[in-house]
Amino acid sequence: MNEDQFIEKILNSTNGIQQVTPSDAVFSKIQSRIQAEKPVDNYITWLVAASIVLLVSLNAGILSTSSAASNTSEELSGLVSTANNQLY
Amino acid sequence: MSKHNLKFTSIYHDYKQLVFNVALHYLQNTEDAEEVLQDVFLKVHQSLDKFENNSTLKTWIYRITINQSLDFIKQKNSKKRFFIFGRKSDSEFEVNNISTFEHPGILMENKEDAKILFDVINTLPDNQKTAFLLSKVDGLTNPEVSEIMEFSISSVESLLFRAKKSLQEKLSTKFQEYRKKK
Repeated sequence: MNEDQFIEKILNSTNGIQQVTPSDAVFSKIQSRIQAEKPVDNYITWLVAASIVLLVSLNAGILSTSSAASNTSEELSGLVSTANNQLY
Repeated sequence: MSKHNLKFTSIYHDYKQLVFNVALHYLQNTEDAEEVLQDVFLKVHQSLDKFENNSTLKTWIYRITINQSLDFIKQKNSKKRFFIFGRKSDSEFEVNNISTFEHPGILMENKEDAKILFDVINTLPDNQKTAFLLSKVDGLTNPEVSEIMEFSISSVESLLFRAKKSLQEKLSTKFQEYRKKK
């Protein structure tokens, strides 16, 4: 075989190349990577935000109720102190 | 399943073979080609809504596949360079990857010759390599290659001419080695 024939033979070695099919497992790998990279849904974002607002307002509500209760007990103790602990 | 996911699944089944084979021609490694296949379709999934019909879906997928494959080779080479303290070579990929690869789609009688061919294709610059692989191995026409590469047809012709010339020179050297062995 001379040089030209050799070169031609090598250059034509991909003639008749057949398409290769990837393994079926690749699609499920792609799907799990899509799931892993999926951004958090809007619905979940709003749910978390609403929970935080609810928690803060509950805390605020409880705080204001307890401060009102402490005011009442201060008033009562004031009454008791003005009476110089004399019950009669 | 949402409309987006249905469309994506259908695109995957239509183009998985194309992507896998193009990646295989670049990487000459089945596992690496499957990794690029995953990366390409992840990109397709992310950008499907943004895809404007300026080009055909096939052209768009070809471009993503070529870019991902070239990036994969660069990453692989830079990792190898890191482990061997900065050795640089234009044909590193050839040295490290090709010697054991047997393309599963090549006809049995051509396997040895195809090994030599891929061996020299890997030494070509990226543009020449892309033009040659798309034209000679994938069997695309010059207008199709020019659309994918976003070059004029004459530029593609010039790239192919230089690629073939360079391959012939390298194969001529291989022929001398082949004769010495005989």
